Amino acid sequence: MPRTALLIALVVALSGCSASTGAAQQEVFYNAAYPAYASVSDIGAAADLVIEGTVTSSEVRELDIVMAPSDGSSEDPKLNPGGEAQALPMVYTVHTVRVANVIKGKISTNASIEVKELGGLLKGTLYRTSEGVVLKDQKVYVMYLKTYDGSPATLLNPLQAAYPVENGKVSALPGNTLPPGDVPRR
Amino acid sequence: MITKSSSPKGKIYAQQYADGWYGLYVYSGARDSSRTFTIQLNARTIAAAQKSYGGTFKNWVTAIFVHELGHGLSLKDNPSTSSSTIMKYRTNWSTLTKPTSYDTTDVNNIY
Repeated sequence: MPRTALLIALVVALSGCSASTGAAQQEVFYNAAYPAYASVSDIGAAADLVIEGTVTSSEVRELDIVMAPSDGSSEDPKLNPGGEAQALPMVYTVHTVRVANVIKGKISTNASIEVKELGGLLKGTLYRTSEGVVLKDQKVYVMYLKTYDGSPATLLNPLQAAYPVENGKVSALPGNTLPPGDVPRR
Repeated sequence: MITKSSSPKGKIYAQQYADGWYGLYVYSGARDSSRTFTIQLNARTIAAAQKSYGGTFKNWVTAIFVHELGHGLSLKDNPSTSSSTIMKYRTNWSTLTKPTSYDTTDVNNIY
């Protein structure tokens, strides 16, 4: 199949709209659409890794997360709709997490893993998401993660995939209605 | 009004990304003609979800694209309502591919 890059370009002119936002600083907004999960067991089934760990440090980086089509997908128009991959760097907060317990997946206790979340402050520009960066330094979480070759892992979504652990008790982030009591511990 | 341009302020990309989202709307600038944006559709996660949850690939892509266009009209994710809306995260996105009356009302309230 032809491997021409797919780039659909639009100019949207919203006539009659008022400019009601008066940004005081340079900001870029990321609005991501994530899968939602009906239960803790569903999110566990979807995760590559489920760990309990401590966020030991965080830094903001620009990452290119575009994946080149793999051999098996290069001719699949669903997986490779645009032909050649086009780099689109994005700003992430990359956390280093020290693993205390492994609930699912292949990683060792006491290993470190990088977990990325969209957004952060970089070179004077604030990259914002509606959820914000949910993982905080020196805090402990049970995390449901997706892993990638050559790129830090991600939470399955920013609402349902991180559960703070404090004094041994698991809680849910604000807005997450899944019962934290269903989160498995080891 | 939507038109084609060779040098647009808005661009749409469909490729594979190393993140869990299905779609991403990135924008900067005020809500007028100075705004620039990109819409990115994650072929990897969309194809995997369609395989897991069913529905047609076309409906999955349509639902997520319409959701991202909702952001273009200043709608936010997960509005606090029990009403059906294209802006809510859900398990099977393919079952709702068009804006609902809630979404239309929301846009009219903004503009």
